[in-house]
Amino acid sequence: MEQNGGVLQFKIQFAAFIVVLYVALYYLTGLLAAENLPVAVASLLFLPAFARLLGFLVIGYWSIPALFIAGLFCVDLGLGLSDRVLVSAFIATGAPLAIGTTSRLLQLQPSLTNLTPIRLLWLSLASSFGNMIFYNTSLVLVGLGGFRPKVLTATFLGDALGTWAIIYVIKLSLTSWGRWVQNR
Amino acid sequence: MPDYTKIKLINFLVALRRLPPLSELSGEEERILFELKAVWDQQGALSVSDVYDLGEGKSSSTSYRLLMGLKDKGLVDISVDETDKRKRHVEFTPAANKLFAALS
Repeated sequence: MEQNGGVLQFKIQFAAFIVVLYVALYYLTGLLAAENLPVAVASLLFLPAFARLLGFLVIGYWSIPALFIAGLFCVDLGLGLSDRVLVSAFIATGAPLAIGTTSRLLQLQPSLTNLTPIRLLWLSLASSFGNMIFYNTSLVLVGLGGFRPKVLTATFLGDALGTWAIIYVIKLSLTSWGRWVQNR
Repeated sequence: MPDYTKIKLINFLVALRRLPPLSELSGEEERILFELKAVWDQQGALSVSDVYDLGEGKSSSTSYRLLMGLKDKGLVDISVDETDKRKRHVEFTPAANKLFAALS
């Protein structure tokens, strides 16, 4: 019982971390792209996409409420509150559903012990694909006309490139840290 | 069903660290190195034949190839037993011990 409480606490803390990470990466994307993100429909390097992958792989479907809250801080697109809620709900759902389905197809173990680079690549592509479909659906629903080739491409590529940019920042940091520890 | 939440986070970071390039060890080599360490801790000694039993779902030849990879990368030494020439011992090099110490 106490152990379950500890797990629940960790999941809630991690969900809060995902919210902060998503929002921070969103504004970092804005700084790097030097574009007005609150009104941009899609970016070619969307760093917060990494938070979707990390969130689902660590806390599963608990990442959905976290991504939804994060989305509320980031989605603007010149929309009213109800439309922002709708878009946030869609972008919080698409990637986790796609990663969940793909992880079953790839026979990913619950502990992620068999998370190889190839599986990680497939999961990131699935995440980008799922978000592309759900995000563009939400754009259609709020009258911003999604599913245009340019927006579809930018959403998919932006998510995939953003995810891998952060993955490699972490990978290089871990490698450098490991070497520093070894040489100490 | 056990909850793997914290282990998932660690395994996720391990998966990232194993991405090419700049990975000295492949994921399989790293896994077998730590499996060897576990056997060493249990038995206090290691022989090449111990390696054949390691690596879940792997053939003996694959496990042996991974051991040779560790040897080539300077993490293990293999020596022939003085009394029984058929027996070969596996020992960790100072580089491997440093790695274990850093990660413990």
